[in-house]
Amino acid sequence: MKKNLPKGYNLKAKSCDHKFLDYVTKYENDGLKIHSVFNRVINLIDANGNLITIANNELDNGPATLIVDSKINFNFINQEMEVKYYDQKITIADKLQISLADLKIWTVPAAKIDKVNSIYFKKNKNLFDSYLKSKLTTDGCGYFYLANFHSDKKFEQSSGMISKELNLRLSNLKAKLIAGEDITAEIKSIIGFGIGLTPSGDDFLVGMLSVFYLLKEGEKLFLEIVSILKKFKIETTDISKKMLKYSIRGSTRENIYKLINALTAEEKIKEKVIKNVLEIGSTSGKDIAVGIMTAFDVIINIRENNGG
Amino acid sequence: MYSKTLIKKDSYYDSVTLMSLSNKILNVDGVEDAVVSMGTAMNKDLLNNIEMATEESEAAGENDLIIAIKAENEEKYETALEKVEDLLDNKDDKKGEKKEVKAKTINSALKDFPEANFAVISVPGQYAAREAKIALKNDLNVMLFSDNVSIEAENELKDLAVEKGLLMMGPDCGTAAINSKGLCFANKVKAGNISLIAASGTGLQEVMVQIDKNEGGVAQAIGTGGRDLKKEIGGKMMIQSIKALAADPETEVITLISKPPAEEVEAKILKVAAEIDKKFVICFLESDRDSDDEKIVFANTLKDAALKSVEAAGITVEKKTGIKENKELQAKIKEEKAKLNKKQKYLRGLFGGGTLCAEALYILRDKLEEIKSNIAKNEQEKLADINNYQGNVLLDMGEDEFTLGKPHPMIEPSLRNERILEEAKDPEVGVILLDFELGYGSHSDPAGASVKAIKEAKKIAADDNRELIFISYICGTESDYQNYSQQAKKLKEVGSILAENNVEAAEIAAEILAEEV
Repeated sequence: MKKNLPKGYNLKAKSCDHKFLDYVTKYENDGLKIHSVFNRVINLIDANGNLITIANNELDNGPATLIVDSKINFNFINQEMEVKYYDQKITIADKLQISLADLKIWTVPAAKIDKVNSIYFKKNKNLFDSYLKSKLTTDGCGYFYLANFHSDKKFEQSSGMISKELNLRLSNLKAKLIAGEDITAEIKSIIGFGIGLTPSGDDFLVGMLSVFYLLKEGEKLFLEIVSILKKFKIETTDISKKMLKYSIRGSTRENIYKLINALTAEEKIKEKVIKNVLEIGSTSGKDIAVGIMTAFDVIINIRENNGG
Repeated sequence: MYSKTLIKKDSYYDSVTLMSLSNKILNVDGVEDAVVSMGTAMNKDLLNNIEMATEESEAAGENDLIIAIKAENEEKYETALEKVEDLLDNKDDKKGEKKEVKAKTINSALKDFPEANFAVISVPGQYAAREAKIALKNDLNVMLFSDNVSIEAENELKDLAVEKGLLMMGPDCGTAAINSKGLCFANKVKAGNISLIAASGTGLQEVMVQIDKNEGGVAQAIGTGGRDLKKEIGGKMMIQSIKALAADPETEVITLISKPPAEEVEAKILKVAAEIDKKFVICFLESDRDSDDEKIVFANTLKDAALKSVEAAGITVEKKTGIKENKELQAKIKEEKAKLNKKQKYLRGLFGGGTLCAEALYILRDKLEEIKSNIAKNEQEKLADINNYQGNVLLDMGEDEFTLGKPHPMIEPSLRNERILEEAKDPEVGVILLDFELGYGSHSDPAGASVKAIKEAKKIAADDNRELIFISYICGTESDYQNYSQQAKKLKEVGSILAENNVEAAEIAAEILAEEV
């Protein structure tokens, strides 16, 4: 309830990437509409269906994303409000104004990881694994993870139909990746599959692609998946489409990069780095983490099969 | 076996909600399977494979939510579906505890209550205009509590209302009383021959209360929404309401309350008022208007608007002296003033009522140095940071910047109580000014809920060898269910000075803090 007309919030942008700036400046004055609003995020969409994101400072940098310097809850914004960009400011109706004057540009890290210290990696992977196991349920990719990485099938009865089906599809994908077989059908089968605004299959793929992109050893697999994804129309939710669109260009969220880098660094991984990924969305982070773990497992298996 | 799907277009629910929903549907007796997912190709494929796809699910888009349920029979399916609706709407699902039938749409409400002629609408902004339009098309007068409605939609709704001869109160209309029945936030006042039309909520409440205190009575109290007198809307609902009240036999005096309207809108309203054979009292706050015209009288404060309305209604108003002439009050002011040390020279006004805060600012602007507020229009008076300030400050704590995700202080005072304690820690603060709104919609015991904070604040000051003075104004009547006298007793017991009206509260604060010459 308001007892007077609200004055609106004047916020400062903290950071964003070049892609975000490209989009807002391209649509100077108008052309952007509100796609969806969540407590910590506003998604904007242009006439061509491209999505860009405004997030509060509890979230990390990401592709086509702007972070505001505030913990603001965006629940006072609705889809009907008008969005404008002019004079280095984004305004949403008379409710929100964000100044882009002093922001830092976040760039996607370009450096590839070509050397991994196997001793540290094994320890970090074990820490990641035990943390993940303690946090996962049988929802989303959780059942696949528990069944596949821990041979824990006691949850089979209590798992939902989608979780069971996801387990089958992800198991097939993993097996064929290790065996070096054609994975077109398996990749297709997980796009847009699962529960949530970003279906679990999409989140899994984002995690997997990020590892394959960043690790030199994963380069071939990355290119193979990208070539498959480019062959057909990606049929999933708008928010997932944005995520996948950037993943196939090697671009993903800051916290995902940090986790992959921490796993392969020559020091003990910090719990906070894992936690930051698991906290993405309501369940997306867990599915992304399973994708990351699976990608590493695939690389290790291929290496071992090749006598490495 | 009975299998059906429910599609929710462009629905964004987080996956935790959807998983919990899925599990709860599966727990419904007679449900064999349930899939809750977005309408992506792969998810639709799965529904096909398990023979739960329907024409509706096939037609669903990627951003639509599909709820597919397979049950023993139609009855079990319906039970599960009811559960879904309840869970998505966050409703109480305990059977047998619902005491009234709640219609899910305006059309179904009209089937149950065909004689209805009024709809109160409070839904999220994006749906509000659509629901209001449905109500107006069904010949219902509308009170639209929701905000976040675009000015274009407001114009369209008000045009439709004018065409149909209906009231379209709002958007963002928080107070009204129709045929003495209070709606949303309203005080219980005596019935009478004065009708009010206001663009502000607590402004309307204050005038109603002051009319009641001065032996007047209210026939109708109509809210127009805060934007009605802007150029873009052109005062459509104020004019429509004036015309409606012109035809109301109970109404003899029409009182208008608003911030100063756009010039051309004011001219239009005055023209309509001049053509109507009833007396008018017009209070365009802060406009400093005056007139000798007997038919149209201007008032500059809410208290004046009430007193002039009562006079226009033919009731003799007991002439009250100002605070300067009130010896008892002056003695109290002197006594309190003596308690303050030299450093304690500032006021902090913590308001729940937005218009009461604006009116206090109007009164105190010339009496206290460099007063600032979060609702000031004037840039010099605008408070830069609501959490970091010095000097004389008035806060409307009902503004979004305070209430985001928290209850409005009129409904639940804890937000303001926290601020009272913060202010008490500032050694430069001498006086804290508070308002308390009674009536429907407000907290059941606003004074009672604040006395602990007032006591603690006084203790914080005492521990620092200071005294802190509280001035309170209760916007309420003896008939309000919280009861004015009981509320006043609680505040007096903790040593707060009680003002008769909002203007007086501000004036007392200024007197206490005035520098000795």
